[in-house]
Amino acid sequence: MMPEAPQEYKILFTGTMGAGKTTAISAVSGIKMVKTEAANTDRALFNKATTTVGFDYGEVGLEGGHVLRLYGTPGQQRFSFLWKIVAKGAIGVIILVDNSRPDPFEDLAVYLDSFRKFVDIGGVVIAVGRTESHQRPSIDDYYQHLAARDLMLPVFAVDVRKSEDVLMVLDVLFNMLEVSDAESA
Amino acid sequence: MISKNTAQLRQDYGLMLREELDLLAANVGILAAQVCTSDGFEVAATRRSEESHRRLAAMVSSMQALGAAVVEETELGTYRNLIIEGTEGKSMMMAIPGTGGDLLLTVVASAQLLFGIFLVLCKNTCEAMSLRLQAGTLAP
Repeated sequence: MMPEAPQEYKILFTGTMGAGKTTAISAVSGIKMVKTEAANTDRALFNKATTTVGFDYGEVGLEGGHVLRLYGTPGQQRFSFLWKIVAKGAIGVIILVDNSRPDPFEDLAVYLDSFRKFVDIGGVVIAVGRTESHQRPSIDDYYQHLAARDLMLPVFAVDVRKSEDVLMVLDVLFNMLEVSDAESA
Repeated sequence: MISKNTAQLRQDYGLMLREELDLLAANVGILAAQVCTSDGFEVAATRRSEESHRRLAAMVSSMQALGAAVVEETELGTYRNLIIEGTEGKSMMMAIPGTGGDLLLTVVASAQLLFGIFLVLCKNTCEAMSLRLQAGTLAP
């Protein structure tokens, strides 16, 4: 079980460029976010004005004085050196998948492989965005895809602009980690 | 803010930036220099593009953004540069004036090069690049 004294827990948001990591943290952060955005010169990959090149940071306060420290990684693989740095000390990872991308499963595989140690301890939740406009692959398809890789991870369709969606995913991850913690105790 | 993509930047300004980088690298103690975009793409470098240059461009992008975040958090005004020192040398990362912080100069120097000289060389190069970029109608 999580200790009674107020604790801080570090959780990562990762996923492809444009998947909504900054938006997700912004939706739930109780403090002014730290953003490290730069002008995006790679519009062919994703047509948006700016992109995260350092990390995003926000916080969510929990009952009992606990605090979730939320870190968003840059999405592009050229920043993978930073994924490892930011992941230090994290207890879990939320992988955001953009269902409008050409091959969401291929995208997902990059982050499952890169954050394998969190997958192995059951510290990963997959949040799929833009499912209203792009219904395939379905959430069932994701479960089948994961099963084919011998993985059992929770998958949810989310709208990262909605705080309740993001908080739900955080709640699931936190509860998974509590269960994992209790089982290993 | 620069509206061109990296390929356009390389095509339009790569040669000119490379000339300035080579002038800088002609100084004793300067080991390497590079210009990259603030989102981590190499635009010009003193040596041919290599994997290490591409990785460095991404790292510089992150470092610059984190440096700017620290400057903002501590209310130090506008971000200018970042200096990293190792036992065998040092590196300076500077935003090139007039680009809205979208183009960054990174210079690697030997430990023997004095900091003051290093700083002046980097600043002079940044200013020269800025003037030539503006003369070359760096598209806003």
